[in-house]
Amino acid sequence: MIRTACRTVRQHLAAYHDGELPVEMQIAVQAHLRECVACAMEVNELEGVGDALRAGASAGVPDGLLDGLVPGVVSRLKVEQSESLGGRFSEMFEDMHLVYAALGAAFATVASVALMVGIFYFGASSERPDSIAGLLDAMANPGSNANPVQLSGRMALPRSIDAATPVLPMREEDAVLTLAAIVTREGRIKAIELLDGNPQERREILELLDAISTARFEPATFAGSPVAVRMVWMVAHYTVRGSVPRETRVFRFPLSTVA
Amino acid sequence: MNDPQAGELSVKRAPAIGWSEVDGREAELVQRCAVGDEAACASLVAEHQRMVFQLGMHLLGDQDEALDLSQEVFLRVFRTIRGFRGQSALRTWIYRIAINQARNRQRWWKRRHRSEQVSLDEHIINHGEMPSSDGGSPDRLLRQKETSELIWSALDHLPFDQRTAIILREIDGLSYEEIAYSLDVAIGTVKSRLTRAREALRAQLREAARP
Repeated sequence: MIRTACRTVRQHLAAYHDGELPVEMQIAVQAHLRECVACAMEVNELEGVGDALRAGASAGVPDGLLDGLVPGVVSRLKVEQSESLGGRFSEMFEDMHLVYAALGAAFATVASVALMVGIFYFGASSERPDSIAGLLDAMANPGSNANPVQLSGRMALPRSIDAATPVLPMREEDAVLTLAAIVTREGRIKAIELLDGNPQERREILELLDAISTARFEPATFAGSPVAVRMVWMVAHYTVRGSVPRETRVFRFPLSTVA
Repeated sequence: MNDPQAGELSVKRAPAIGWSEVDGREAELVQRCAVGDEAACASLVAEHQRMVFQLGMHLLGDQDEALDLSQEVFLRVFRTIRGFRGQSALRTWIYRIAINQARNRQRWWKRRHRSEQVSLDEHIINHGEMPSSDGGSPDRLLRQKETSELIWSALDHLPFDQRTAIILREIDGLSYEEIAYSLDVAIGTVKSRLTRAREALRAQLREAARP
């Protein structure tokens, strides 16, 4: 009986010695120790170790040895705090004149940024080509309808796809018109401008411009992508006189392109 | 209670205080230290410096090292005190910091091949003369002294973790739970470290007891 109890009790002897057992276990081990010499000797050994350790431990702290510890720690703390970011940040607020100037500058910066954001976000619209956003958008996209490019040798020229060509009544006098226009990515004509022509033929010119504006083209392409290009046309009308009755002639003339 | 800052000894009657008042006082001290109150910091150091120094002495065996350790421990305490949320008693938390700092110093020593063995004379110089028991005969005192020598010599050869556990238990009187928190290990680990440390020390005692 005692042996069985010993196997169980020895597992708890250290905890018993350290006072870490529940009360009922403590009482049970105590009762066993009164009867079991072997277990009691083991507890004695544990106590002997503890006593020897305490006997050899520091008897005490020599007088005055720790006097410098408190001021040493406090002074190092002060140094660390002054060197810390928080300390430097606090120093910034010692002279409030600088603080006010800094706050004013920060406010001005924030206000400027807010104004710019407001302009771009609320006021500008890329749907309005004359807006800042629209202009920036156009500048960022060369070859777009808003930012047409000049024709270059690397581009495929626009080609008229309309079977019908403008038909206009013309006077017999020779006429040369220089027109500028934009051929859009969709192949439409816009922003037609008369660069050179006889002012007296104003009516005919206007009709010509109107007719041209409805013409359709295959757009110019660059690297396989359609691009909007600026075009200049020279429209020439020459009369070749022969034995033909004097009558109003109707001429059909193709549009030729002059890059 | 003696005030270590006072120029002369004075004895104050400590008023009876309950656990809640202790916790409240400690919490207030921690709070004041966290905001940088110098007086509170000085008070905290004064309250725990003896404990930290003696632990340093027991773990490192050198007075100068223990002093350096003490300063580093308290600086570390104040750098991290904002993170202390009362998860343990302040004293136990400081123990934890002290043990970590001591462990780092031990590793530093080992890398520089510094001897861990402390001679008895050096031990006595560092720890002070061993107190004699009241009413002991000279022979008994001599045996006690010899036993202590053996134990401390054996202690110096234990692994740091075992040495720390046995010191915290037998000399500082911490509970298993407090030791576990200080070492940042489970209670089961504390028990096994204590068991191994005690087996090694008891083996030394038995060896010494042989004729």
